[in-house]
Amino acid sequence: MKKSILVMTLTVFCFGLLLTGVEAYPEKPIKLIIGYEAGSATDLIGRTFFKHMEKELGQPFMIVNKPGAASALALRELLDAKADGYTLGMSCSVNVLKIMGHLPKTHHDFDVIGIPLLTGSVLAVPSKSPFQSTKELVEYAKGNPEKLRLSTTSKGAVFWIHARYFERLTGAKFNLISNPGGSSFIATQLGGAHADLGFAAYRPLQGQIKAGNIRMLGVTSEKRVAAFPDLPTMKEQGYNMVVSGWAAILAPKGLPSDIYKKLLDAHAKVVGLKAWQDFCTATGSVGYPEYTGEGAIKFMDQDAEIQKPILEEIGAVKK
Amino acid sequence: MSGLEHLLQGFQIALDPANLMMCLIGVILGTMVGVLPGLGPIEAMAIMLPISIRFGPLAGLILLAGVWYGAQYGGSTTSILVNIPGEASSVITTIDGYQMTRKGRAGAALAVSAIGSFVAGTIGIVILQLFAPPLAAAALSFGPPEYLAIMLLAFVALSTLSGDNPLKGAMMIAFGAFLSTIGIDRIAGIQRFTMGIPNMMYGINFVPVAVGLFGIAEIIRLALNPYVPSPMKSVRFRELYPNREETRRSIMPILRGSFIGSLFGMLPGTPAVLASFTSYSVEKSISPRKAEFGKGAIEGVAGPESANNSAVILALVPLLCLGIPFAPVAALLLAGLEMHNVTPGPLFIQDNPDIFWGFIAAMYLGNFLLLILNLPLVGLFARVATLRPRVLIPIIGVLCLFGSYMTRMALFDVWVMIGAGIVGFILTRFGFPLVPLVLGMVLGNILEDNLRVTTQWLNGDFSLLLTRPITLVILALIPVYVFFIRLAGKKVFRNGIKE
Repeated sequence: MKKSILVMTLTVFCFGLLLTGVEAYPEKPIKLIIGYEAGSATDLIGRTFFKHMEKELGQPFMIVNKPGAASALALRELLDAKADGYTLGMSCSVNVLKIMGHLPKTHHDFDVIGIPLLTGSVLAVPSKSPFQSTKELVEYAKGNPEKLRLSTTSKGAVFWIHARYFERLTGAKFNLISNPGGSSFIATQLGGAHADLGFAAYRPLQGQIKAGNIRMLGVTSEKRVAAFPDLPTMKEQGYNMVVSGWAAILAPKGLPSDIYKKLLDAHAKVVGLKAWQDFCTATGSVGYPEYTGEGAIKFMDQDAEIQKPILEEIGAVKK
Repeated sequence: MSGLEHLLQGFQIALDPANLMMCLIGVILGTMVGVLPGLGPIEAMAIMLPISIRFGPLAGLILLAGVWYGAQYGGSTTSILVNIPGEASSVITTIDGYQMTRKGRAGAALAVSAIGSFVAGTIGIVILQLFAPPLAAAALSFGPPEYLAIMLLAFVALSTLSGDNPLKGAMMIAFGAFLSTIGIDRIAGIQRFTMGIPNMMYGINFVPVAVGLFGIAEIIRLALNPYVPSPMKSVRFRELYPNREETRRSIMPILRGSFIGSLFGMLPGTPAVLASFTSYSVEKSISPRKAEFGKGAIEGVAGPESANNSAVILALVPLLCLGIPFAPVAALLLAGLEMHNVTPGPLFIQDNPDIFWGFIAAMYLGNFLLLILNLPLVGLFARVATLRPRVLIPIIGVLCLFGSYMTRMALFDVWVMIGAGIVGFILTRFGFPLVPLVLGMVLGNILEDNLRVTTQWLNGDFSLLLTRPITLVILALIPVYVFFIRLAGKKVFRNGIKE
């Protein structure tokens, strides 16, 4: 009798502890590992997004930058971390790192929290360019293969892949110029008319677009983008090209289900916030609350399918 | 005239207590992160970004920029005192700065570096204020071949740094260039010399190598002779600051450095380290006291430290006037402005005169604050030079560990640093100069990037170069530069002997 009471009290006590433990998450600061340098595009997205997440979860985030190997170094550290919700990570290429041989894992080996924003590639030309629409440009390029200079990011990086995808879809051939680093060199090459067209993010081009040195012909997003509502999408112009750059928030696999749910809810809520939607608009991006958990996984699956044949073509795929 | 009017209005805005406060906080923070090796302005700015947003576009910009140029003031402190470069651009300062410390002139070196930074910063702001829009327009007319030509010119200008033995110097440059190729290639995205080690994919980081080559090698050197008395027993206040001779010798290098730095700063995507290296090389080539370089020539501190600061200020030109963020630092400033729906670009000055002129005025004030802040610190820091080796060795050791770990929080970098220290010690023993090695690491990447972008751009048709007049002019300048530098060097040298 006495024993059973003891067992019962202990059970209740433990259960209570467990409950309070869950209720209290997060009860200490959360570490966020960003796989890119401080000041890079993804770093800025992360820092802004997690300012809002802090308010939602009531705990500060400690941001650590671990650049290198297209975020594979950061993800390695995330894989080693405890799945307790106190370590999260950010990557823009987790779905193709395995086929590129940088990391033997994919997004399915993590608990995916979500994708806070998607940035479509912008097809841009110098303002003096004779081409007024994507169609005109493609027609000319087909007749003059490798004549037009297409300025984009390094081989295998997101905008380069979009440029190759554009070539595959249209059958046109360009002289692809891969630039190191982000999209800044693309902006000077287009602004100074040293290249004929470019695939890049909207943000670094913005100043030159507003000054009238660079013109946009199309965007690869699914729908028109709030920052430039007059610009037709590629799909509208008859090219079925729907691709975007993105950043995903990940956690080590095996989060306790209530903590996982809490993070998913917070993510969906913050993406829907007006402040976040405004940030997306300012940077020429879009944020969908549906791209939380399952929605994000499905998106990354599709994105990997698009990227795979292109990466295979350049021999970046490790057998 | 209206420029002056705008500027006065700018001062009125910048002297607003809130803005002045931001400026002060920014430069103090900047000095702090600058002094600590490895902890750069970028990390500090990234942390300050969300805070800065709360205070409106101008105050935020003032705060963030204050951290940035403030860090350039402090960056040379550890280079001069303990031979550890705080960041890439102060590597060159270790050569003569540290030698000055060993001769007991640490105070003079620190003071000249602070004054040079102030003068160069101010000259940089004047140039920014007067010429920013036309300069930005000019920068746009530079395409890939023009950048390549400029980098080749810089490379030739820097070749004087290869030391007394040109063959050994060339070997070191090649070795440095090789180190810079390790990692995931920045253009084709393939792995080079990584041997399948994940950490190698990021490449051999510059800071740990420099910290190891100079700092660890210094520890070994000190440890081999622990009983050498320290050069200074005590420092008297008047001895702290540069004497008349030192001041006279610093004036021209500071001015030349300011202009060299301004030129490099305006070229988008060129790191400030190139400016400080070039300034050192120019000073060494034209100095009548060539033999003193490497043994504590004050010109070798004054020139590069000034070049570094004006380069940093003028690196704002591509951001403010083209709206293109080349360095991560510029991306952070851009983010700070965008949150308030302010877009930098060619129309920025016209659309937001209050922000632009307030910012310019705040930079003048910030530079002045930095000078007031840094000169008294000289006395404090110079005392480090009076420490005995057995006290100094652990301090240098901890700074080295901290500096190499902090750059990206990887233990791998600490091993790189220790390895570099041992290699550096051995190389020095066999008479191989270390500066060309560092130079190779810096220039290797930049030259390779530019060469490869240009060849892609040409697509096999080299006759296209003939259609680029700017490229041809810059390429033609290379032999002219070599000729004049040699001539100038010789003439001054002969005169020096006659006297």
